[in-house]
Amino acid sequence: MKFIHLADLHIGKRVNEFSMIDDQRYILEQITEKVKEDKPEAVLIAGDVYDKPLPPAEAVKLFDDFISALADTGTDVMVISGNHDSAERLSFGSRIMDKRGIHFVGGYDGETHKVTLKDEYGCVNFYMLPFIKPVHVRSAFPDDEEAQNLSTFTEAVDFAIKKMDVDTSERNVLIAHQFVTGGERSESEEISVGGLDNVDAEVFSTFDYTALGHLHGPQNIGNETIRYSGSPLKYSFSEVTQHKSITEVKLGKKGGKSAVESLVLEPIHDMKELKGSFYKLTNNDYFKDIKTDDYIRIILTDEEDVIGALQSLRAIYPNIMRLDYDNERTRSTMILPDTEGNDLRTPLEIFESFYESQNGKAMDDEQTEIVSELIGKVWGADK
Amino acid sequence: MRPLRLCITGFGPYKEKTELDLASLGKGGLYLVTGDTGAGKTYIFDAITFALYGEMSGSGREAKTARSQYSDPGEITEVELDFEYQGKTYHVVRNPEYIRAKKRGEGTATEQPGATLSLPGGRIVDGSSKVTEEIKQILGIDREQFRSIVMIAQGEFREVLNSSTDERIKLFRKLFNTEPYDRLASELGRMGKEVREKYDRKMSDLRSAIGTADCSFDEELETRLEAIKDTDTPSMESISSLLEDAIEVVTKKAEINAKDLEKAETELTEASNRLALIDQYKENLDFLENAKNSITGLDEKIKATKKALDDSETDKKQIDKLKSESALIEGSMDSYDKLDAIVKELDETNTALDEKTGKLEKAEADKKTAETLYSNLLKEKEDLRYSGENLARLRNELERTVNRISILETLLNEIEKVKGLEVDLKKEQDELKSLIDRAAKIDAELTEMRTAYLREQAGILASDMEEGEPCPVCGSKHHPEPAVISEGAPTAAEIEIKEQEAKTAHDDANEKSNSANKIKGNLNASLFSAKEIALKETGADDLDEAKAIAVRDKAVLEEDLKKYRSDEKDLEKQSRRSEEIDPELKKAKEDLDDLIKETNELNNDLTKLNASADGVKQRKIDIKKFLLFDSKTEAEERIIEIEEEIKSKNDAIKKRSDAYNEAVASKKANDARIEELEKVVEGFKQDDEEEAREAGYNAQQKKNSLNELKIHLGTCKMACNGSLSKIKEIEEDLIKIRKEHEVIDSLARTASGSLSGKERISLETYVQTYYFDRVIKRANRRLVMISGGQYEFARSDVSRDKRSHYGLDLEVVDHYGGSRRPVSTLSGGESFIASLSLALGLSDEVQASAGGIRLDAMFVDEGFGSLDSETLELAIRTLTELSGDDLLVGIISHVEALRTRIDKQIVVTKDRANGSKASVFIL
Repeated sequence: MKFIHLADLHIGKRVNEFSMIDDQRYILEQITEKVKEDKPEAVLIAGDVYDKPLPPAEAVKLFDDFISALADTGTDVMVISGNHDSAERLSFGSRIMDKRGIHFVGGYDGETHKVTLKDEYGCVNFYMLPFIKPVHVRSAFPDDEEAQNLSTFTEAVDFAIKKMDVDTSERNVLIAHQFVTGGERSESEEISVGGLDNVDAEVFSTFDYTALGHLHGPQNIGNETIRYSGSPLKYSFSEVTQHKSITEVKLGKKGGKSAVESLVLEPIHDMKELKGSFYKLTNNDYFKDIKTDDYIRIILTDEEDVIGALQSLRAIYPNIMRLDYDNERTRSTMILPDTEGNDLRTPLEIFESFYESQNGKAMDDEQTEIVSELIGKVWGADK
Repeated sequence: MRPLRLCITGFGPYKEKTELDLASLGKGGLYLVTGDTGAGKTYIFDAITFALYGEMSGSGREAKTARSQYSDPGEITEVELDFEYQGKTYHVVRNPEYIRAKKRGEGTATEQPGATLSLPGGRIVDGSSKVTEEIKQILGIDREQFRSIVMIAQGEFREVLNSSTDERIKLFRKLFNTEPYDRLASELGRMGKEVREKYDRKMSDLRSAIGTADCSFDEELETRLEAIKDTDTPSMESISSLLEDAIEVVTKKAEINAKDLEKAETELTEASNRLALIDQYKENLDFLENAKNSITGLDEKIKATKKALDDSETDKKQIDKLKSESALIEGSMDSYDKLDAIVKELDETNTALDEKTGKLEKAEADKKTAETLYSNLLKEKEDLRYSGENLARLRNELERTVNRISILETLLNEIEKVKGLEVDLKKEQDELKSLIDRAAKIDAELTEMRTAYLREQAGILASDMEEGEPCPVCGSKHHPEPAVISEGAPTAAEIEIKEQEAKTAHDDANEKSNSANKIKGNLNASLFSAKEIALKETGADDLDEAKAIAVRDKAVLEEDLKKYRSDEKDLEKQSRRSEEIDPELKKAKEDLDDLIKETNELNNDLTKLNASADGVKQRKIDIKKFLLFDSKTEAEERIIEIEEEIKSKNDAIKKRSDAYNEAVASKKANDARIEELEKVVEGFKQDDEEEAREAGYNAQQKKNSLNELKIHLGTCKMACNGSLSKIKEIEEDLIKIRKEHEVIDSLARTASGSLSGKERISLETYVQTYYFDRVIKRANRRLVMISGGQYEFARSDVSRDKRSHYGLDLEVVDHYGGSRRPVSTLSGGESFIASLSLALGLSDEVQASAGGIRLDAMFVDEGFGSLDSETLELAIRTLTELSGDDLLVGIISHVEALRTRIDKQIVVTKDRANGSKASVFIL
């Protein structure tokens, strides 16, 4: 059984005010080509198809094109909704499309949709678990006491899995969209407001392979049977060092070995960072050898702000996404103001330095005496 | 300030009492207030602000109009808030002004704004402004500060960003406790002002001291003085020298004047002397004339007094006469004594007379009474004469009646007896019958039993019979069918018993018969006697009839009896009385006789007394013939009168003689005087009066004017002296003050930021800039993050103009362009994130500094709609990071994306008919 696992398409996303739609179109076409080549039995899309619950029209059109193209290859397609998707909208027409082997799962009502495919070794059950929070599980089982007491994500997912009644004698694959403990986060993921949304990896132990979505960096959790395919494109500058890919899994017989392989993707525009002084980066020698139309974050090391830096740089790097400075000033911005300074200066000292700065000379003794007496009076009255 | 529970009634779109459990939102993190436009999201923040400060969250929203349009007139408008601050829980209830239905009667009334605050520990604060004040104390910030750092109201976030230095000064003063610096500056200012005032006062003292100088004695000096007075700031030297000169001049002048004065004095004295002599001469002449004139008068006086003295003779004669009268009266004193005695006797007699008369009258009265009593008794006795007879008669009648009654009773008894016996007889007879019947019955039974017995003989015999034994009847030895004793056959014994029974029965019957007969006998006897009596007494034969009559008669008689008995009582009384009356009669007669005797006696006495009284009267008349006065007292009075008259006459005589002597002496004196004066007049030297007078007058005038000059000079000298010394004093003081002024002025001006030519930054602001820098630093951390490194805040170093205060003005640094711009150049969305960053930085710093004000909650009303999705994401991230575990940030937004991002929500739904509803959801 061969299937392809991808996730976190975020179709329609804008990064630093740049629309990624064209890059996405390019990469999805690339993926379609690979599918045509390898002819897997199934393509699993583990959530976050769109970037917003109400995606823009062009995003919907692009995804429509993509799914249709996949469907034309004859492969089964299984899509679950992620935390960015609107579950109901995504699963529009799912019951009709089911018949054609295109499976959409949006909401969770207690029953996990299962797709069973056969290979030479027998059945493979694909369980499609969309993004759930404890509240979803609770509302799916209003009469179940155990369900009502679920509070953490781990407990909720564990409960949902138990309810699937997995037959461990057969091969089982789970498609899920969660943040699993131990996973490495990237800047472009959305953290849950509240924080503790992670699921322990143990809950997936019943499955022969868990196709995860949510984290944008391709990575295994523990071993390769619990894996994030990662996003097909780099969506933030924290991902610049990653190699974007889709995952291809060849599932052996039960208990046997499986092969997990990354198929690398090549985008139109890469995302990278360039650091240096303004002079250096605008030097012909520097940029003549690099792809200047990539999505770039430029970090200037000049101590002072360069006037019209952005404009000038844009002339060379048309797709400059961000401009940052790394100098004394920015480093000090990050340091919190300390509690020294005024708090430890007495009112008299403050007055003295103030007087000096305003009058150009210090106070004489008589003045000092008058002021300190007054200070005693004014501050004393407060106590 | 962390809100725990909010309860809104009739406020904004919330008609029904809407309760929100805000404590369930936790202590930190974000929560979202979401709902349709106009559903009432902002009103939730308004409610919180209103509960605390009595005002709404944004300007332009008024508490007065907060009452829900959905509320019925009878419903209330009220906001309740439980909040926690520094570990303690507070409860505040507040209502705005609104119009509601009257509680009694028709029409509407205005409910005044009111509030109540319950403090931990039980104390209650009541009253809208008091509660607001208390809340200010508790939280440490007032509404304005609250608006700046805790509640970012809709559309108003720009204000925090764009406020001027003056406004920031006020805000920071409260937040960072920089007020003491402000006070220091104003103290210094006050001191400076004091010094200036002292200086001014001293200057005016100087001017008035100059004013007191007087140089009017010398023209030149005067001119100089005037010139000095005209200058504003006269120099000390010119004044001093002028005054010194003046003093010199005036002293000299005074000396000259003194000499002149002496001279004039001498002249005057001479002139006066001359005049004095002339006056004296004139006087003497007058005296002489007067004395000469009075000679005639004196002579006449002598004549007159002499004459008067001679007339006294008449008076002497009168005196003698009076003396003899007095002696006469003295002589008859004895007679007067006698007269008095007689008068006394007469009085006594009259008294006795009166007494006797009184007694007589009384006796007469008593006599009359006794007479009446006696005649009454006589009459009574007459009446009682017959009573005895009547009584005897009555008693007879009474006895008769009693007898009759008893006879009738006897009759009735007899009749009763008869009746009784009849009854008894019947009874006996009945019993007899029954007994006879019983006996008969028993007889019958006996007969039956006997018959049966006899019949059973056969059986009895048979029972005794033995087979083989011969039958007593037939002798047969064979008994094939012996007679059987039938059931119930009586035995001989039974028969015997029965026979006994029968006998007893018959005996009883016989007995009974006897007794019946006896009774019958009695009955007959009684009947006979009763009938007899009846016939005799009532004339009736029939007993019943007789009984009726007897009863009737008896009743009548008993009535009569009653009456007789009562009459008997009366008569008995009467007869008793007639016995009593005789002694009484006797006594009455005796009394009467006594009284008659008495009255007669008294009459006699009276006559005697009258006679003696007449005698005394006569005696009195006799004596009086010889006397002039009625009593001794009167006589004595007359004697005294005479003595007085004599005395006065004597006095008059003496006076006249004195007058005469005096007149003589006067004349003598006058003559002597005339002699003397003539001598003096002769020896006088004539002088010209007119000339002397003139000389004197001139001298006087001269003296006067010289005196005036002296005074004038003296005054001027004093004035100048005084002025000089005063001025010297003032000079010293002025030096001191000028020095003081120098010292303080610069301090004051520096502290208040009013040094001319310098940028206007006050001490307080200087201190505040330090804090402001820190705030900016904190704000920048967020701004940098949200703006992707593009923007940062900076404090502007230069004021826009040198007139208004500066120091806390804000600018924005655009790193992308490398320029600095005013904050107002930011776009809407950029302004929002900038002000959000600033508010976050400010609240951060406030908490970190030693101010002690803790902000546990923040509220951001809208603004997120102006952000694109990326910036929105960054904003949410910033807020989440900031909020952490101990700051609860509430945001109002209708942005759809936030709904899915934020788990804790207050959802407000609008119902056009019934007002909005809100509730807390934790997903």
